[in-house]
Amino acid sequence: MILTDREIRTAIRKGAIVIEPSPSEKAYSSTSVDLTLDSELTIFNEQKDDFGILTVLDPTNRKVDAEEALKSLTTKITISDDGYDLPKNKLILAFTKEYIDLRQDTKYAARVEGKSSLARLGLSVHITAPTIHAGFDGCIRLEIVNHGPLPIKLRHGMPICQLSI
Amino acid sequence: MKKLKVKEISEGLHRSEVIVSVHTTGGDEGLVLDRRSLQNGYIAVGYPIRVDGDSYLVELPRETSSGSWRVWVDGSQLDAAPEKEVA
Repeated sequence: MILTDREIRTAIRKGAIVIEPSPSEKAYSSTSVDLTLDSELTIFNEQKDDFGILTVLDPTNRKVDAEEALKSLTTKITISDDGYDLPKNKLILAFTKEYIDLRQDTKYAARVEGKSSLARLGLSVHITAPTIHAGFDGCIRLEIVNHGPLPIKLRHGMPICQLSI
Repeated sequence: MKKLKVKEISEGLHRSEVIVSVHTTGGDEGLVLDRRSLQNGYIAVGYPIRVDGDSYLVELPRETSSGSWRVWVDGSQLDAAPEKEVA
């Protein structure tokens, strides 16, 4: 069952779901609520093919901490007022500005999905991991890829994805 | 509701995040959390799903670095005296 906008608002009012800052009226559709882009982006560094040797990530190797590996492979930037031009075929990591808390009533889980207006330009916001499990709390990490033919400008605070609960 | 002891390792990718280590019966696992989830070195894990002697199967609020949602932990990692009650 997917909650309607009225049911989402009721759940928020009762404290069963927390979304901070509170979404504007305009952020709701009949069965979802839009979330916005935080100003902090994580950009992958260019990987050099020195002497024919490429770095390979092995997620099954338990000696490698994936988060530490990500830190060493990436650079954090803040989106300026001019926005950030996401090149085509590039993956970046981003976060929603909103903090979500699904710990209060564990019958709720959610799915983060893209927005069709951005998808038409070639922008995807997650890579095969849309489920926000019951018991989650935090800002939602987005895996943003520009599949389109041109760079796409990202601005902080823009509606970037939608949450169904 | 049980709380699981975790050890803070470092900052996460985002300013809201923190990376902690969970001591499971199979070794330490890295876990990314929102800083607000961390309370005096513990995180909420609800009720254990299974109990086997003094080992407890608990569900974490997020997936560990190696992809596990549920991990077996020693009773000493849970707050207070864990009940034998399961979810």
